[in-house]
Amino acid sequence: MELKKPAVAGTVESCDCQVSIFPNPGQGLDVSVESNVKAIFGDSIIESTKDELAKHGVKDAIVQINDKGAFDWIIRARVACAAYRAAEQKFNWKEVE
Amino acid sequence: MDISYSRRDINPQLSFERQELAAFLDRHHLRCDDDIEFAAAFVDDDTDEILGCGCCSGNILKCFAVDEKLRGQNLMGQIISILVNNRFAAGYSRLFVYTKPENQTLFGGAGFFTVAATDRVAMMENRPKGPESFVASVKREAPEDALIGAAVMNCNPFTLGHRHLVEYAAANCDLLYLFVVEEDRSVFPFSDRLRLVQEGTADLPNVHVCAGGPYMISSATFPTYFLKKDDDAVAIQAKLDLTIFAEKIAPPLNIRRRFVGQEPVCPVTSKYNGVMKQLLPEHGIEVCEIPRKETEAGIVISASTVRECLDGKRPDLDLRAFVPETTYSYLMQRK
Amino acid sequence: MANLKRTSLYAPGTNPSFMATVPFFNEDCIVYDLEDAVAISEKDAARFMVYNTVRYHRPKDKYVLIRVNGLDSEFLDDDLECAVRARPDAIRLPKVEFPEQVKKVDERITEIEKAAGIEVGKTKLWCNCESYWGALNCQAICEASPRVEAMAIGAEDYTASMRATRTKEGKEIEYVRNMVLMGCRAAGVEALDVVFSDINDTEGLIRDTQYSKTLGFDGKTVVNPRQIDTVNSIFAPSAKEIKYAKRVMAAIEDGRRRGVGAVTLDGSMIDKPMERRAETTLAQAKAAGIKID
Repeated sequence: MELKKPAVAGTVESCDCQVSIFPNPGQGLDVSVESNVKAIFGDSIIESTKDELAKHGVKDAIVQINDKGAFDWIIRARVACAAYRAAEQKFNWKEVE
Repeated sequence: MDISYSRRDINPQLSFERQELAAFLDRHHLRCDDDIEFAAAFVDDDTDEILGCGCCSGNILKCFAVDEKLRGQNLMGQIISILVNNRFAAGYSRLFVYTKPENQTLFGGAGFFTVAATDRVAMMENRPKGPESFVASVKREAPEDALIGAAVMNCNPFTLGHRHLVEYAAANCDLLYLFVVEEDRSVFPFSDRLRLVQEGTADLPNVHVCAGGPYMISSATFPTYFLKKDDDAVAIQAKLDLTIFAEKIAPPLNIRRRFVGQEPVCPVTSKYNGVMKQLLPEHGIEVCEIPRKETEAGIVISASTVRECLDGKRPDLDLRAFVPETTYSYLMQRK
Repeated sequence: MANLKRTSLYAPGTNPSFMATVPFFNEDCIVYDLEDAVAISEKDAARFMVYNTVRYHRPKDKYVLIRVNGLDSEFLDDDLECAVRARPDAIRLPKVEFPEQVKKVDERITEIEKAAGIEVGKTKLWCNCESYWGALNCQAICEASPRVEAMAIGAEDYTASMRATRTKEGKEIEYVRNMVLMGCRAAGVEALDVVFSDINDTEGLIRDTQYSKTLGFDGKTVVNPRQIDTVNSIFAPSAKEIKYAKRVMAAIEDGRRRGVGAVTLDGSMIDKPMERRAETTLAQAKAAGIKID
């Protein structure tokens, strides 16, 4: 899936995260995280983000995550939402298992 | 007892909404800037009164306030989130906040990174390492010992006065970074201004014309909402702008000399120059102030005079005496 | 009828901190909301959040619902595709007015269940009655699909449709409460009463909930977690009700053993509704954690 414009999803309220995503044509994934718990969870947040993007076929993107203690599935939901907004596409729910 | 409150989007185009917003900001000693496009507020469910708000205009978020009784509920986080979403939807993804220096932690928690801060104002943006990537995008390789200079100009449009300054500067350094201010409130669009500067200096090989990026702040877009009535907004803006230059732009580009035109008329520019002459040398950057060029008839050449000519206000003057050929033909085509 | 529906709590689909908290309150049912609590521009975000939460972080021992957007809204189709696949216990439909609407949704859900490999009929429906049409057609709506498990009254929209004024006392909703109850009982589905909006008025909540229970409702939607324990305790069967129900069931058992057709207790005959009521009471007591034996 190709990103067409910058997009954002999520908030900076507690237990949430804000995901900003920017097109990065041909340059791969560049994921960065800001979080109070970065020392412990930073790597797993990045891993989940990359995994979620791969699931939706996003190969090139700059992603900034401002985490406020979000659970993994919330981060994934925000990442997916931001990616589809950036791609100007609607997610097809028939794709989920 | 809990106060129950709900989100309300405020459209400042509606006069009653604008009045409510202005009254709320006034209570918090903030000014309601004229250019606010959208405001996110939270209102009391019972009284419908505003309890907290934040506003935006273009790529700038501003005018933030939350009532005392709702502090500690992270209302500001919600407000910033709404504004960021609103701005992305409006096509602005690179966002800036100008705020009091003590608010840096608050906005830092909301995903903003400090570009620079003075004693009165901090500039923050929604991406890390913004100045670093800007510098990387304009950097020209130069020998260690090269004398590198810089000038920042609006060039609205490019005149013989600008040309004079650039010629002088180019002769007095090995490499000149010529930053053209990137703001869209000038008479001439940025892309045209940039092109005229490039064309008008094409014969000077050591001049590197580049877009000023978001770090050359224009007084036209600098928000002053958080300043007190008797504050010197121009001096505060100048100090911020020059601090960014001195701390974030000049060192990595090895700039050691800044060139600027003398300002005999405009009080704003002359005050800016005054701050520059004081602040930059503290950072080891020499300021060269160059006298304004005059026409053969003895009239000071300025972009504002050129704009007056175009508006037909100065039928006594010949435009050709003020602008280089490249700018002249552009202006004629545009007519 | 093993699961209780005394209290239903809404969790906005775009509020992760609340979504993370709701499993730890004592409500019987959680309703993850895609509708009113979600801004138009956040509908896409809410679907991702609710899907992930219900599918991967489903609270144990809770009845889980997803409220979708209105039957005539542009969001309904995506909402259903997402919600059914998230596999909640039920989908809550807002502003239902005609049985045909329920039939249509029922068919859509069947298609999605088949496509997603979910047992057909597994996804139940709760219908919200939020207008005079909903009230007038209550029984037919409840009978429109075997998926319908309950009907709930939304008083704000109902009073608006009637051009009535919503009051704390609630005289303006007296009729619709009774009407929906009758429709639900006739159709054999559960009836859920209106919310009590003033979260600071505990006495008012107690009075209103006791009245709900007196009328015969099975539960109530709550607007704030603070209301849950109060409402639960009122809707839980009393010791007296449990004792009576046990005596009813014992008498029936006794009659069955002796091969007697008509069973009596305290001189009156036990009919089918009495038996059903006793079963409900015991099931409710059991689900509420009250020791019966």
